[in-house]
Amino acid sequence: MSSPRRERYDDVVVGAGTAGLASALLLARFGRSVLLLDRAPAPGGALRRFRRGGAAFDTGFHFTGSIQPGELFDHLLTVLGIRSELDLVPFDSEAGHRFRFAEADVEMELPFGLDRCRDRWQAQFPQEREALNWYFDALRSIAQRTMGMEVGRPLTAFGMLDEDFVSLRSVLDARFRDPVLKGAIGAFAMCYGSPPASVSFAAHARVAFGFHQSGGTLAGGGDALADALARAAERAGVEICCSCGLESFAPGADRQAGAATLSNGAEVAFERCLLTIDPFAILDLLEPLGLTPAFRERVQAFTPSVGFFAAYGIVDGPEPAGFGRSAHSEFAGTDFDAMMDPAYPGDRPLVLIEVPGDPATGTPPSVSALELSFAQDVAAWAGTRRGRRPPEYRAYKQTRAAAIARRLAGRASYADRIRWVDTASMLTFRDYQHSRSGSAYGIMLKTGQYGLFGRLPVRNCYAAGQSALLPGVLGAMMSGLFVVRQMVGKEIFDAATAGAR
Amino acid sequence: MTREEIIAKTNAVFAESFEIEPERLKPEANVFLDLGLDSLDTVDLVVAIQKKFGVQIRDDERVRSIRTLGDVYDFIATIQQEKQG
Ligand SMILES: Cc1cc2nc3c(=O)[nH]c(=O)nc-3n(C[C@H](O)[C@H](O)[C@H](O)COP(=O)(O)OP(=O)(O)OC[C@H]3O[C@@H](n4cnc5c(N)ncnc54)[C@H](O)[C@@H]3O)c2cc1C
Repeated sequence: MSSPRRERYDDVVVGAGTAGLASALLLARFGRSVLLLDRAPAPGGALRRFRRGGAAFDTGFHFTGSIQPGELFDHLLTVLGIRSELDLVPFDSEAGHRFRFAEADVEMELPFGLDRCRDRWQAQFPQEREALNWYFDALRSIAQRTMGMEVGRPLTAFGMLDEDFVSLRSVLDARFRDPVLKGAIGAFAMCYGSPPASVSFAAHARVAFGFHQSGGTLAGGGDALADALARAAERAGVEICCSCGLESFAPGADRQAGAATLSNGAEVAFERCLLTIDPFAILDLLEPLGLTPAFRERVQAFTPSVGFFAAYGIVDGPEPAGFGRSAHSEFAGTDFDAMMDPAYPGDRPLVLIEVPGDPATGTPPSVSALELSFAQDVAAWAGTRRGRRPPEYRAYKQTRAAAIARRLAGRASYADRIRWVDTASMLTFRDYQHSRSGSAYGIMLKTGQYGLFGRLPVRNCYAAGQSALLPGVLGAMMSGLFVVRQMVGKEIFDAATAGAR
Repeated sequence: MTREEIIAKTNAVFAESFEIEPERLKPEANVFLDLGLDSLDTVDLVVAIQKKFGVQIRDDERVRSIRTLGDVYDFIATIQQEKQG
């Protein structure tokens, strides 16, 4: 798995996360010879699980939206040809998400379905009736006008909508009065990593739409998806090369990249190269080949999304009733612009994910507690390497993990049975995912921002991944599909995938 | 903003962000044929103009119908008017 077998491929795909696996697999199905590279020892990127104390913990795939039959996640798995290999596990359709706003002392449960959530919010916030009608109509309308989001519609260009140019903040302030309801709408920021004043209403709506449809996960978590994608890619003829990073490109003629040099010293030639990595890493790779200042400045204007500090625990004793049927979020205040500011003095937003055990394999039930984090939290150790960090760093992790445990103590009925087994800071995520900042969702979504997607100024290079169109596993998968559509041609792509639509 | 200011700022975008020699920046110059941008540079151009003028621009039909530098000046003038109006 460590060195490419050939000297030349039609397509080299860099990064074997969700986006890279999905696009490599599709390119191979279109008859291209494909080499898929990743620095990590196994494919999957942020989908990879890790094991501690007999339990399996997810890194970057805890739950997703649009998981019911016929919804987008299910549909994309079908297009990729791996649907039958995976078991979708929906949350409780009455309470897929549970939010608690501590200062306001309000709890709410979000059911599946836009109409049902609207009805429930209207009952809870009767003065906001009209605004909520408008809001849910807007989510539907934006999803309909966004390429590929409405299953069964022909694909058109992923253009910008008017709603890409207004911030969520301005919509919240213009339409809503109740701070708790504004908080409940803003809470989906945990699923895309950008505060309301930054994110466009359209980007918010695309993600929120999916989570209002439904929520859930896959049996076997991110590993199940990574394995299914990798198997399908190999069946399609993709050569996967792990522990193998792309280091640089030789200059080519005519605004093109020449051969790629890999971390093991090998050189591979290609017709086209698809980069599903951090946009800042893309900039560094392309810079020596000659870029316009315009492109450079565009990428430099991006900022990383927020990240998480994670504490992982095993639940000893019997599995609590209803365990793993909802994602629980705990918010001190209701203003996400304040709470997503590194200077916020209160407790930071916290999401608790429960993973049921599996008696067949002796796997105990476990929890992952993800608390909002910023690069600033770990800036002091940013220059240090894994295994060589000073005691102060360990103390930071211990203190934060203990604070998370204290927060949960009053909240979860089984809190006194959690045995904490590990923690991860943004530096941990950075190191294991080979990303720039360890942010959770790539770059921050900003109003009016054009991400890096499709053909790049170095003309035989393309970009996809979570920072391209939409964040999260679903967004990364979509970007993989659409970039392949651009690479093989719309007509050919649409004809080949028509059956699945 | 006066026409002169729009021209000066737009030309600065082409000079600074696309490294095009100022003497080539004539209103009749075709952005693609004479100045060497291609259709894939349009997004970068849109982003650079957004920043320079502090406006937000959709990559829409009007952007796609731009051919000459003069078209860019006109387009920005319209955007500015819409912003005020
Ligand atoms: C803590 C955390 C929790 C999250 N929770 C969720 C969730 O519950 N639901 C959800 O939908 N999303 C979640 N996300 C986000 C989600 O994980 C990502 O959006 C998604 O996995 C990104 O996929 P990708 O293919 O774009 O990138 P990645 O999975 O990051 O893949 C990029 C790959 O490129 C490789 N690479 C980088 N540079 C090079 C190079 N030069 N050469 C070769 N390989 C290289 C890396 O090793 C990596 O494997 C979470 C993220 C984090 C960090």
